[in-house]
Amino acid sequence: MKREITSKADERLREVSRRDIIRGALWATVSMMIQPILPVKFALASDSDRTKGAGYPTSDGAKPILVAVKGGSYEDRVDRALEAIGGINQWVKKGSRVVVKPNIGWNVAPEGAANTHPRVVKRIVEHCISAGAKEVLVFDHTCDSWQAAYKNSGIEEAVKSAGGKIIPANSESLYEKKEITGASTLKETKVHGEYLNADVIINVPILKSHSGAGMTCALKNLMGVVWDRGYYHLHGLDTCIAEFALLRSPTLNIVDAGNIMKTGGPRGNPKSVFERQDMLIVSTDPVLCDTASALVLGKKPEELGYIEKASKLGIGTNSLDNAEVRRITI
Amino acid sequence: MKNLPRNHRVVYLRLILLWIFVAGWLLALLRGSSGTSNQDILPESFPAILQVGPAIVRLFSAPSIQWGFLISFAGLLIIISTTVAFGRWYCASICPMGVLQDLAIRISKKFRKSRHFHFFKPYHAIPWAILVLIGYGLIRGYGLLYTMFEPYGVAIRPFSLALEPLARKFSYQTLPSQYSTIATTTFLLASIWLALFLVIAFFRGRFFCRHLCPVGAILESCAIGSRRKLQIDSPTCVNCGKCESICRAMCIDSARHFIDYRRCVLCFECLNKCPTGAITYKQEKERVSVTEPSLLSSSSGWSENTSQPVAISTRRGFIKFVPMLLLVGMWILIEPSVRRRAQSGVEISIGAYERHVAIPPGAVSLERLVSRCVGCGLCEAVCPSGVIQLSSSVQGIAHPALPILNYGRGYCQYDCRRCMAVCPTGALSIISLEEKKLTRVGISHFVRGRCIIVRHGRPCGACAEHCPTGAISLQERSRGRGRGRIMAEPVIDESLCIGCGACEAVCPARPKKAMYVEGLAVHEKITLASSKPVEIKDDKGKFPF
Repeated sequence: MKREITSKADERLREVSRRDIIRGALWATVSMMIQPILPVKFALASDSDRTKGAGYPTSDGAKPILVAVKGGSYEDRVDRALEAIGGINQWVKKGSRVVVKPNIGWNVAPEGAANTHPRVVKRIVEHCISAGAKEVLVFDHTCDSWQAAYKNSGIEEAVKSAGGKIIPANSESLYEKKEITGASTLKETKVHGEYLNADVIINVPILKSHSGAGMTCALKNLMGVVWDRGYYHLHGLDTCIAEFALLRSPTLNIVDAGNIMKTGGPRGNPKSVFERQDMLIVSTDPVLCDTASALVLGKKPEELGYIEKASKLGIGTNSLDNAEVRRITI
Repeated sequence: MKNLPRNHRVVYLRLILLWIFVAGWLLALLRGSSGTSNQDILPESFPAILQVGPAIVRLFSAPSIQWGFLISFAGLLIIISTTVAFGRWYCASICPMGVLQDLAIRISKKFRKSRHFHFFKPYHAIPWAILVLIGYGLIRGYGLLYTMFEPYGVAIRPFSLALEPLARKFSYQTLPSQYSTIATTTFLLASIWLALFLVIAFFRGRFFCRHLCPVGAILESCAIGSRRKLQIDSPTCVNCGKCESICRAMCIDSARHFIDYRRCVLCFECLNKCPTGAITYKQEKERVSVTEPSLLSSSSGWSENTSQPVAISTRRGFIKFVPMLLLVGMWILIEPSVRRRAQSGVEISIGAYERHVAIPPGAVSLERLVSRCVGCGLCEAVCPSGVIQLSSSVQGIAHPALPILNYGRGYCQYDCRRCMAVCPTGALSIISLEEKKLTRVGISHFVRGRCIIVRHGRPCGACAEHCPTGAISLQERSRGRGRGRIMAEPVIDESLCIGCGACEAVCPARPKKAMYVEGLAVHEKITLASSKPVEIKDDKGKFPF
């Protein structure tokens, strides 16, 4: 097929030849083969499902469930709470890649209640593995030096003995830049690659007071998967904390409220006041978790800016009346 | 190499020692910052702790008997006693400066095939002068000559500075991007200084060890008594001169069949290269009293005009002392200014600030640190947060590589004392963790106008969040500009501040931070209120919702 091409308009009008089709097909095949090894991940259909999170409360109109367990040991509470919410198997399937995100911010021993208690983390990792998870990854972008915080919090050993994998998060190279649609302030941020790639995210914060945000719990704990926390502080802590959950809300939130730091948080200092609550709060809705946790800490949920903002953004509900609360006493 | 005589095994002994130490160094520098242990002594410090220069200083700087002190003392004892018995093996096996010079010499042999080295008459005045001046500096409180001529510090400094960013990459502990590279000035000074000696080594062998090294001067006097030594067996020797041409210490006089074993560093090159096997490393048959006079009168043909103090009456001997006198004279001239600089509360600028610099806990005082620190950079290499950085701008001429706390890079970790555990000289003395937590190295200051809470009316509190002693609290004081509601802003309780710099390191205010730490020239102690016990609420089964 010989044809003179005289102008650009002509070129566009050219008929599609057999050769073009073969060439196109070849390109498509090659690019599909290359795609998995490219550093850029293309958004596929499954990705958008994931970003909503299983805990999105308005997804089927049913009331979100909140389980609160009091008494017993750390392990007992985890077992009973997971049982009450319907078992971890509904999220963790065989071959799942699970990220467990505790709070390991500080080089402080478990008694200091600055990090999630290692026994809680260990029990959760064990549950994930017995549910058939292929890989259970644990990390936190720590404030203190990460090796020391991982070790002295007891979490490194707990995760390893339970069969999970503890991975670093204090290097910028591990983070990927992500745009957050629907955000007004935190329009884009660098997020830990594993947080984006995992099938299931289990957020395991410890409940404690927080000098800047008032309280740190489920939503605030997600700051530990972000590289640039200074941006949060600079541009509005409450807004950024709330908006980050738009990117990807955790599948499940398990709040360790065993021994809570009532003042001097998040790190704790010699003047800090602690209170034993022996509690564990579990929900798929991080906003609901934070609302209940605020009451446990002795704060009013409406005083915490990010709870209100997150609920307005539709991340979850800040009303316990709209939720089904299951209270268990051991 | 198959049919080596028995005593040639020492060649391998030297090489094994050498590689153990080289591997130890690399391990220490590359894995240093990733450790988590909080012991008195780190395994990373073993190659450093056995260095003669730092060990001698540690003897004078340990405030009490500690593990580090004992190991240094034992190491020193072993090295000195083995030197007395076998000669200066230290210089070619575990001294990093010696190893690097040997490397330069090895390279030079590829390029300069012809007659390379020749015998050089001993000349001891300068190393002794340097040694004396270093000692004087240690007493008077400055460490310029110590950092410039102590071989361990000179050799290691550029490496610990250059490998630090690499090590942080390996251990996934990256620093803020503007500080992720090395401190340029300090690094350039250190590498130019080392490169200078390596270039000299390329052309003139172990020039540094012969003419400058204060440790060499000490070991040389120890080796005087050594019985086992390299010797030339006159009947077997064919006077080919090969040994002299390859002797990096320039201590073999092949014409007279003489080896000056006091300067010999036991590299065993001659042992390998002698075509007739005339050179041996063995015990002397009869014990001659090997002091200065006997050496002079020995049958080796050693002429009297080459020895030192004895020959000072001769003009030639006197001329040889001129450089030493010049050195001392020069030092007397510049000494007052160096000392003033070393003892003044120094003002420097880090980033945007002019301020007093803070030094790591354990240093006790700036004056003590300046006089004891050899500037090897191990503390920087093992610091998990990267807050320690060698700086040449702080003390300038008084100390070209002083470890300071650069809060732009991070903050001093509350539960850590790795810098003290690794310091080979005791400049950072080992204090207990409890004591360290109460040691104030500086005081935080709050610049209200820069604070995000005050300027923008947004909640922040990053400083209070990170403060380990609870010195910073948020108290309601101001009306935020943004919303007109009462905002709680940081207030510093100075009596609790230890100057760890967590508040400064994390303060998100830009371009200038709202928190900055003003260092103290002499560290202080704070007192903390005792911790309150955990409250146990008796409300079993009660839910607040």
